[in-house]
Parts: sequence; structure tokens; C-alpha cells
Amino acid sequence: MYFLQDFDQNLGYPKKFGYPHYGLYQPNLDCFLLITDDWHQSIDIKNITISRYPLFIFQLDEAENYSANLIDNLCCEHWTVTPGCFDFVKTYWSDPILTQQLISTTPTNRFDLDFSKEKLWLQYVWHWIRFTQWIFKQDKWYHQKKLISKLKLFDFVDYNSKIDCYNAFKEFIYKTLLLESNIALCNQTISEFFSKNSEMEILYLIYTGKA
Amino acid sequence: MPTNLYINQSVFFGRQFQQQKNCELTYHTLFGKNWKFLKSCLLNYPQTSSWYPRFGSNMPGLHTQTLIDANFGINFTHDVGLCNQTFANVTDQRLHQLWQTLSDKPWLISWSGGIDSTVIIVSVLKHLTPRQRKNFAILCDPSSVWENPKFFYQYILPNFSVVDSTNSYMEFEQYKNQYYIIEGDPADCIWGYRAVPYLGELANQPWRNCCSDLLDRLTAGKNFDRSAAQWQIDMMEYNINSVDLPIDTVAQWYWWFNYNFQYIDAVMRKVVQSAVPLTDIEQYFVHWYHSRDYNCWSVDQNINFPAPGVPELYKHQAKKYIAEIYKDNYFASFKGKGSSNARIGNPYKWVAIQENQTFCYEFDNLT
Repeated sequence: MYFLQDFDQNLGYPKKFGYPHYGLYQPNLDCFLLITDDWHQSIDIKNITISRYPLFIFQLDEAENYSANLIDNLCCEHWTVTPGCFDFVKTYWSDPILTQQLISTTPTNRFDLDFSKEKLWLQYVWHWIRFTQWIFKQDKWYHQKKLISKLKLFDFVDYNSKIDCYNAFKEFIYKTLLLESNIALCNQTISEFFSKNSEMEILYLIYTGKA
Repeated sequence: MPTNLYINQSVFFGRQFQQQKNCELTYHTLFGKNWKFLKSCLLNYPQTSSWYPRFGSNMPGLHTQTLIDANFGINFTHDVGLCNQTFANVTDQRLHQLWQTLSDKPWLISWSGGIDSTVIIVSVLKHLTPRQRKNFAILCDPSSVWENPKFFYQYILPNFSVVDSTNSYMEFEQYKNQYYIIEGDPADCIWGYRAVPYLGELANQPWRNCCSDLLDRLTAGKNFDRSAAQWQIDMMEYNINSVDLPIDTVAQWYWWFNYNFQYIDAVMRKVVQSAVPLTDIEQYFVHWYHSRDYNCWSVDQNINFPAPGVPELYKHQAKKYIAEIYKDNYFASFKGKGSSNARIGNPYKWVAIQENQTFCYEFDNLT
């Protein structure tokens, strides 16, 4: 299972200056646990992590004191938001939340929580979300083929079975991450899946640059 | 024209009602002349369709005595101090009391995946045998499972039959004669928390001395008119002054707002959403937390042991109770209201209850 142990960890910077920058904030710990550059991926991370703790998505680049290199995944637990800047109960499902300031903090450890372990788990979740998105993007004609296949314009095009296979893999990954909270157990479950599905394993090896 | 005792006030501000020019509803169940502010306040609490003070406290221009006297009153002066029970004791007794009186039909427990409805299931798991548990079914939908998937797979699926509640409101007619429907309402009013865990140091400040900070909190990050929030504070002050309870801190202010003003709305939710006549509520629904013991516990806790503004203590007695069965450190430390996915929609029907309490008007033609 060598390929599952050294997944890519991402600092969370936007691809270009001026692109949106997001922070996943945990209110009990009063700090950020993950920084990302993608809104939809952030929502998926938040949804998958629901059985662990609630996370709130802030748009960092809207803060008054934001600068491009201020905050990343190496130091995010040392940053928090303006106290009382939003209502935790009512804004859980809302659009990205804004904070006036990003404030430097010393992370609280009332829960005996291993911050590096939590951050690693979130990186792990994000890694698999990125991979499940990547497999759909491998075929540049994906959307066109899918449409043609749906409309049954050409009998010889059977694209749905491939899409079904990718969707089934995505469902499997999301369910595994939702119900497990341990990287080792997840790795075991995923490698069992790969042992029965060489196509997905090869795609994963390509994605991680090991093929 | 008979007097209306209850109207889900928020519908007054809906577009449909504005277009219904011939509607003859009287407005006297609203707060005097402060329509503008009430509208703003109700819009700021999207899960709330009405504000009514409970019997025993006063508000100007509000006439709900008969309704609340019969169903939702509490004698604050008399009941405070009588509760020397823990949350666990009150919960265990509630189960035994209900099980003794309502065992002629199976129970359908409505589970949202949140803390309050999980407490009900844990009490059943703690005290009833597997044979007895065959008389229970769990009403939930995919969003409930998503909110607490581990509890669902470890404790609900192996022990209970499950009913998909995706269309439960539509299928109410089917369920009502088959089951007692157990609801986790009005737990949030009993706890009175919601925002309190995140108040920080403000929680223990005297609210009369820090109205500006309270205003900031009420309007934080929202499109909530500051003058309407000030009206809410003034209204609360009038109401608090009418009861003989030491409601002094910001945390107690929040508790009192939930406990006193949103309680009736929570218990009336089924009247509004499912058009169940008020007189039939007790026949079909059991509001688990709507009991004298829970009310006394709530007053006792919030007056004598006001909640500190730290999120990990959010409903911590309930989490401790759940932990007797479900040992999950993340749940115990982090589970909060923010992630709750209880399916509480805004009401789409207009409901007016008149003096004799037997009439429940639905204005379907307005939808």
C-alpha cells in the first residue's frame, strides 16, 4: 500500500493571485484547520467531516488584512477570525463567511486534540476529493460524450458505463471517508477496492505520478 | 368576529398574504404597532414562525391567555427551586412515565441526527429490552443519517426498524393511527442555548450594562436591522421585568428568549406544518421535552447554573447521557447546533386558532 501513504499535501494557495482563498474554521477550537483554493471542494470536505466536527468556510481574501502569503496549511491553526463576526447557528449553510480581520492566535487545546493529526486527516480527505474530481477531467470530451450517450444519438457510443464506474468509485470514497475516521483503516478499505479494480488503481498511480 | 388566539405571525409578512386583500384576520395577536420590527425580527429567525410569551410573563398588546394558560404555562415563582434532579434523571423518568401511559400503540421516534432526538433513542436503548424495542420505529431521512452516520449504523439499524421520513408530512395521515409520534421538541427552548456557547466572555456580563455588545451580537454578520434588534431588547426588558426571576446575564437573556418566546412556536410547529388541529396534538404527537420536569430543570439550570460561553459545553449534560451508550469523543467534544440538520421548514400554511380552540384555519388558497 505504498501509494496510499504519501499522498500529496497541499498548502492551499490559490493558483493565481486574486483568485478566491478559503479557510475551514472550527469554532470549538477557534482556529482554521484547512486552507483551500476551491469552493466546491471545501463544501465536500465540510460535508464529509460532519460526523467529526462542524467546519465553517470563510473567504480569507475578503479580510482587511489579507495578503497572499499570510496563511497556509503549515500555520493555519495559528489563525482565527474576528470574535462574533457571524452567527454560528444560522450561517452553517450559507455562502462563504466573511471576517473583518484574520487574527493571529495560539490554538487552544482543551480537548487534548492532536492538531497535526487532525490537519493530516483533512488533507487526506481533500486529497481523495481532488482525485475523484480528477478522474472525470481526464477525458476532455467528457461532457460532450456524456450528452451524446444520453441522447442515444449513436448506438456505438457507450459512455455511461464508464461514467457509472467513476461515480460508483466516488460514492465509495465518500462513504468510506464519512464512516471512518482513521487514515490507516481508510487505506486498508481503499486498497481492497483497488485490488478488485485495476483500472481505478492505474488511474490513481497516474494521478500520483507513480505509474 | 371571534378572537384569534394564535396566528403564525411570520405569514403576515409573506407575499401571498399581501395579495389577499379580502382576508378578515384580525391583527391583535401581534405586538401592538411594531409590525415593522416584528417582521424584521421574525425574518432574522428563519426557523421561527411566531413569537408569543408564555403564560406568567407579560407583553403589551398580546392576547394569548387562553391558549397558553391551557397548554404552555409555567408558574415560575412556584416551580423554581423545586428541581433537584439531573438531566439524566429527568430523562429516565420521562421515558418511564410515557412508556407506562402510551404503550397501547407503537412509537415512531423522529430522529434528526441531532443531540436532542439522539437522547430519546439512547433512553430507549438504556432501559427497554430488545423485545420491548420491537414496538419502536425510527423516522428519519438521508440528511439525518448524514448528520450522525456512525450512530445510525451502530445503534439504529441493528435495533430498530427505520421509516423514511422524506415525505413524512404528506404521509402523516397514514402514521397517525398506527403510532405515537415522538418529537424532540421543544428541546432548544429547554436548553435555551443556541448562540450562548459562542458568546465567550460576554455570556456572563450583565445584559443591562452591555446592550451595545448585545446589539452587535444580534446583528452580527446578518442583514438584521439594528433598530429592530434594539426593539427586541426593549421588548425583552419589558417582559423580563414582569417575572420574578433573576435574568441578569447575557447568557440568561438568550435562554429566556428561547425558553419564553419560542416555546409555543416549537410546540405549535405541527399545527402549522401538518395542519394537525390543536386539540389533536396530544392524541398523535408526544413532545418529549414538553414536560413539567424538563421545564423546572431548565429554569433551575439557567438561573442557578448559567451556561458559560464555551462551545464544548453545548448541551453537555445531554451529550454525557448519550455517552453512556455511544462513546465517541468527537461527538462529545464537537457536536453542536451548527451542524444540526433538523428538517424545520418555514410554514407554508396560514393558521389561526380561535377562542374555542377547536378551529384551525388553513388558507391553502393563498399558496
